[in-house]
Amino acid sequence: MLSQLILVPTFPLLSATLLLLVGRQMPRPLVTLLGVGSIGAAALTVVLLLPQWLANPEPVTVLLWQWFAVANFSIDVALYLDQLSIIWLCTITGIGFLIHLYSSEYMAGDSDYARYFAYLNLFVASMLVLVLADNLLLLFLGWEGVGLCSYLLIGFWYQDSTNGAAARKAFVVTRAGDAAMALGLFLLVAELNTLDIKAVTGAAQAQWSAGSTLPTLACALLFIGAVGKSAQLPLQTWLPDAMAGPTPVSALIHAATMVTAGIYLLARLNGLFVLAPDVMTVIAWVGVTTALMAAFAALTQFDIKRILAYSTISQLGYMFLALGIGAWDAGVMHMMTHAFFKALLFLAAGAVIACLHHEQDIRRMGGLRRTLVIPFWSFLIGSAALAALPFTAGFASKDLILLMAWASGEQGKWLWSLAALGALITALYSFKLIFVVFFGVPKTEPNHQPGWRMSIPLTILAALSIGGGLIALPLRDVLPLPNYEAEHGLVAWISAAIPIAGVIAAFVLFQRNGIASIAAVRSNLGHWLAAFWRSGWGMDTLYDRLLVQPYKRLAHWWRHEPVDVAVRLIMWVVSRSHWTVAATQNGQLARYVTVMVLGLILMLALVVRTPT
Amino acid sequence: MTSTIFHGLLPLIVLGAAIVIVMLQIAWRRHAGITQGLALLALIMAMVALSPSWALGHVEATPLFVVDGLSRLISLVLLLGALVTLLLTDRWLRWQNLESGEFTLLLLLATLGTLVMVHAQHAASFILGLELLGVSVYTLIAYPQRHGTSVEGGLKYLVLSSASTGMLLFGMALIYAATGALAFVEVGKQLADADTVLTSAATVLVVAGVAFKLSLVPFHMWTPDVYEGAPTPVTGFLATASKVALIAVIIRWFAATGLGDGSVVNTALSSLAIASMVIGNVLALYQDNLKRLLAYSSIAHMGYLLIALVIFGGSSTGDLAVQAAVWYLLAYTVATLAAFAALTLVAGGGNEAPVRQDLAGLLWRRPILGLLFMVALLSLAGVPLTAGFMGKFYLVTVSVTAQAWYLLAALVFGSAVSVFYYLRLIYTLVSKDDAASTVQLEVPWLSGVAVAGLLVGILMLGVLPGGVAALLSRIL
Repeated sequence: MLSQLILVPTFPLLSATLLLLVGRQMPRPLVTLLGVGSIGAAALTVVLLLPQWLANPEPVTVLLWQWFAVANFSIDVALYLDQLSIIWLCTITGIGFLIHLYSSEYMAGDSDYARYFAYLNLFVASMLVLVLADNLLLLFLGWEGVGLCSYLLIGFWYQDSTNGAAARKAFVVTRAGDAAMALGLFLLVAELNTLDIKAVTGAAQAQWSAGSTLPTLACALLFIGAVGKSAQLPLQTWLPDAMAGPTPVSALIHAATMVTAGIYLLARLNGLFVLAPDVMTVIAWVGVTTALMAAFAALTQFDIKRILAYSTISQLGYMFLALGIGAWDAGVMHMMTHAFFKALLFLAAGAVIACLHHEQDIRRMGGLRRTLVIPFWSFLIGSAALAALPFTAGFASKDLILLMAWASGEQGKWLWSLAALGALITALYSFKLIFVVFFGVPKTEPNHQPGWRMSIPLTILAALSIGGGLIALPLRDVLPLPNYEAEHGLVAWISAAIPIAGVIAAFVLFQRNGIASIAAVRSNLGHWLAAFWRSGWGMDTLYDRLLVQPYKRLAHWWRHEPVDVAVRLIMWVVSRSHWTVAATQNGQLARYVTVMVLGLILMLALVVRTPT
Repeated sequence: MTSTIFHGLLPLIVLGAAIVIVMLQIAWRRHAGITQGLALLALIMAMVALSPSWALGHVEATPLFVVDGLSRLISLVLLLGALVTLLLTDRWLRWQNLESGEFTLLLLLATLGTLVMVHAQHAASFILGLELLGVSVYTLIAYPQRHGTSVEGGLKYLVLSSASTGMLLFGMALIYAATGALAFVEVGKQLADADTVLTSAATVLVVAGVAFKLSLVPFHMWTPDVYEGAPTPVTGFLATASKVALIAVIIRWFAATGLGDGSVVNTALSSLAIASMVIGNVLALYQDNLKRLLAYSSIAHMGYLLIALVIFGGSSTGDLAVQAAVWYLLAYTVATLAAFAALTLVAGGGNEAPVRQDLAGLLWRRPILGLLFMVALLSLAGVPLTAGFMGKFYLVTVSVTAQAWYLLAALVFGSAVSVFYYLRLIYTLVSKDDAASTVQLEVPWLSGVAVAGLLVGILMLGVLPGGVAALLSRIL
């Protein structure tokens, strides 16, 4: 049953292979057809499979083949479809398709058109493998594939070395998380002797008691992997720099793929994580701290894409908060609604940037609401959803997270307070963006209007950003229910009012220019603080001072350290022995026979010395 | 002869009859196309003739021969190997301006020799097959008489191989002296009453004789010279067919006689394995002549393979060890054949001793050939998703199960060293340097079939090993 599922990752993978091999020789329309069509076909397959699966919504495993089975350890290549993976499946293929369609116009002028679509397809294929994987090894394959593709796409315009540096940074920083994740997987294999996700969860619950050392260690390691991929503190520094890639790529990384992989990993292994309550608490606190800090950083950015990048980090923080307090379904729901409005915002931003001669600085934008109508409305709807104004998709999920946070145990009030402050700042910066870019005095005139291939995805995503919150996710069967109810009453009203307050504040501060009259902002401290936030809380400088520079100095100072000497010694011994033994091969038959006979005598001596 | 025996031995009979027909055809009228067509047909017929015997199970076909899962599988591998060699030599002989009649005939004879060995359960049939193979191979190596190196290689192989067969025969004689038997099973039965000094000395002599053919250190010295001197397709055949057949015999020999059991013999075999893994890889390190490089690497690979045989002879994890050995043999065969196929086609234009620099940028000049060579090297290096990775995986599993830590350490060390020279070669393949573009690189379609088959084989064994693994555990 549902064996067509294999087609979903196969279409993009096939197209990526074709485009990589012979893409250069293909005419452009064919590249577009392959690149966009493959994702379209994958999305269509999902749409066709959906009713079939919904008729009988049981988890399905599609065994493709057994990779190997040696001595009671086996690795299957199998796809697994349940309520959780189908949400990601729909998001990835649906939004992925819209982004591909948009890309076909956005990248139309690029000379490396085929390479772009090859990477983009591979990206989607890897993400699909990640979410459909039945075992953690296959999941890790998709995980690393996503990492590779993000590297390739962030550095897509490699001719500019800063883009290459950004790609490298993304790769190296996420690698730090991946190393921890690999260790976590090794631990699971060593202790549970399986990598099958269901078996891991089952065996863990059977063998480990909640809160003991092993599950805590395993979950902590896996969580570090998720932190790297999903750009949470302290490994968030790569995401703002990842804006170096083409804008649709940012949309893809931020909305449908890559950064939500960490959320998926945690949600998928929920059975394991409930055994580690300490790690869950850490997850919640990491999430809320990230949400708040990234919101402040977003408030002070000038680059339109960096604002959105920090807002992604912040929103991912809310998702981690939700997972950490055990409100799994709220976290997953926010992942989906966030995918809608963040894709919308990035694509709208891309449209603005493309129509303004690749201008990204919001200080040189203004009054665009009349000239760029579709991007304006898209942006407005997207920002409303991001700010979680009532009657948007963002409200449905984020409000739930806030209310769940309030109700979750002793620390709940604190978590709620920080998250609510974050929500206020979120509303502030998202509408600051609207007022600065689309209202006020026009500063740069657009040179063209977005075409249909850009406008249609924007329209669809805008509709989803409003109505997407109404989609009822069938998550009750696969995720554990929290043991408390969402808060009602006064807190609920306050939570709903906070974004509105934020919008009003943004109006006063940025539309009425109230900001100029606040003395604190103009003071030295205010300037310093703004610059500090703009640099992402000085994290890059901090890491540079704390890790990179000391490491470089240490490496420089300790060039001849023992490890190096040992490595060189091995090299030296091996190459010396090569020349020594190579000299024995002198081509003389007599020598050859001698060596043979000597070898024989030696062996005989070894064997026949003890007659018993 | 009952019909079961007849069906069991049908591949041998078909091949033997085909050899007579080919010989008559050459005597009647020389024609390259007809001879090669007949040979091709003969090999395919022999493969078809294998199929009725699959259902028969274990067949004692005369006191000399036995037909079982191992013999069928290995026969199939050998016939496929011969087929690949034949497909590669089709045009190559013409490029080299060589007579094709005798070449094809000798190739068929050598293949028959390997098949005889694979089915042997008696010292007489073993030696018969070994010599049938040996004599054909001497001639094949020295076939291009104009080339001094070929004749030199043939002569060296003749002299050293005779010496090694002498050891083997002397070992068999000692066995006979100790047990009064030559049939493998009979030897095993009489062993309990036999003189241990005699039997251990005999085992060492037999092992030494076999170790020469497998080019295990210290019986390896001939390998680079002969590999280099032999015409490239013959080198591919020599590097695979003769080793595959011998491994099959030695598995049968150890299984039937139990002579591989015993700590002293085990120590001797382990020393051979460790020495081969270390010295083979170290020798290959900076080698630029590709045929010599592959010669050294084959020394190392036989060392790896010997791990499985040592464990098979010495412990209770026998079944898995045999599976490991056969799997490694498959992986080694397909990758080595692929490497030599690529070299043959590169060398087609007359460059009989290609060096590393000749292959610079091959991947861009001839993507298919470059890909084939690259995949073959990756498989030999044991990179995942190739046949070689699964082979190494089996070996590691077996050594861990048997707690053979020294062997495992040598395997790890050898693999680490080998990555250096394999990757260096791959780097050459992808480097964009077309200084060497003068090499003729025509790929005839028959060779193309062989190339495609090998490529699919390596990748299939690596990506979808499940089916073959299940087959191995069923028939071994």
